[in-house]
Amino acid sequence: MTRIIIIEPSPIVKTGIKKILEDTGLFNVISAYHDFPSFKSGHDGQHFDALLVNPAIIHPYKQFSAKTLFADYAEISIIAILYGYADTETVSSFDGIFNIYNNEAQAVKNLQKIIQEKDKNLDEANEDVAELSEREKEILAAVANGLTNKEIADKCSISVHTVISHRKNITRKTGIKTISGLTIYAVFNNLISQ
Amino acid sequence: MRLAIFRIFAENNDINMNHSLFSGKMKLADLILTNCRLLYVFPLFGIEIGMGETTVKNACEKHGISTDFFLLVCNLYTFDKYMPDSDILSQISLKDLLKYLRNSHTDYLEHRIPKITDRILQSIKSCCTKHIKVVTEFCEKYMREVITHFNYEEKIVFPYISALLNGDKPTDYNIKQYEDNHSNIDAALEDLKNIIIKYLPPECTIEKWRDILIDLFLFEDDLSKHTLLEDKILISVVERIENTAKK
Repeated sequence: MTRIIIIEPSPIVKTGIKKILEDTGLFNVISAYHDFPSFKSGHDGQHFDALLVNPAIIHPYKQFSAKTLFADYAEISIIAILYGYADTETVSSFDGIFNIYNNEAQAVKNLQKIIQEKDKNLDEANEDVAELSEREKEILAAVANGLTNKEIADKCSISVHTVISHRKNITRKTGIKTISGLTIYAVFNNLISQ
Repeated sequence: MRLAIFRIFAENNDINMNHSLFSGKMKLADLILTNCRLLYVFPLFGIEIGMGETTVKNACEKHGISTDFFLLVCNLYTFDKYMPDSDILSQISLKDLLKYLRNSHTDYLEHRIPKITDRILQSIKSCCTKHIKVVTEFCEKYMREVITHFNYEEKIVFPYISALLNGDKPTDYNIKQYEDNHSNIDAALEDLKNIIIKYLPPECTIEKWRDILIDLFLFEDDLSKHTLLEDKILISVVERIENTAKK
């Protein structure tokens, strides 16, 4: 179940969105606020996946970017509820748009797409900066010790294909391509002894 | 995700028009003032500093080298998007090109690589003694790799081209084989940069490693231009000769 919070000044729109989303059985609107201060003071810190916000609530705070206003929620999809004019700059700072004039099915489909896209981007970003996993360290040590892909696969009880995919990830994370480079890395990081 | 590598010496020498390239009428000194990397190129042609106001053309004549070829190399090393057109390519003297490539091989093996590896070993000794062995092995292995690479070119490829120039038509080799097997010798250098920048222990300060890193960046850049000369220029000129010889 995808957990949603709504910040929307109009009670009618707020209730409408909540009903449409919850009727699908896919979403749970855990709370709804009419402006930013009530969200700030009212939200109890429980986890949620997406925030549907009317950009109109941003203007009084003179912070026109959803990214800066909701800086604490960088990992959550921040989506603009649009049914009137909003300047492009403000709208482009959101992860996506929830268009009030779409039919129910379309609106739900778009919302799911925005949330999935955000998760995917986050995963990729996290993977890129991540340290090597324990498995990757083990494989790197084996490579540095001169084992072939086949030997590593047998030793770790995985397929050669998986070994190759681990090696690609090791190179992507460390930036090191050659076996002699990986050997230095392994020694420097105490993965193997000299 | 590969991060963009920032060039150490700001170099944005975009060229759209040929008139911004180096020419024979320019002062020789201005070439170095435009691109300090040419300090590594000039000696390979036997040209020294202290050149006064002499022009490129005069200096080339004095040293008995082809002005066109000298300019081609200087332009290639300076302007990232420069690629000589087929007119210039058809005029290139392969003998000059081979001599230049041989000279740079010697320079790399006798001066530039040993200078870098010696300093790496010195610095490692001063801040990270326990890793001397693995780093020494890395440097030795790299040197062997480069020697093998250059040996193949000098013992197989260049003699083949010389024979071709003398009108012989060796049947057991063609330049396509070189094109297919031309390996990279810069991967290990890039690894070395990564290791120095990211994984040296804290005792190894920038102060101790900066000159080495700058040398590595410069050398890597030179190698990429050297490879460009071989892959894009040497191979295409030789291919044309092979095709003419077939007819």
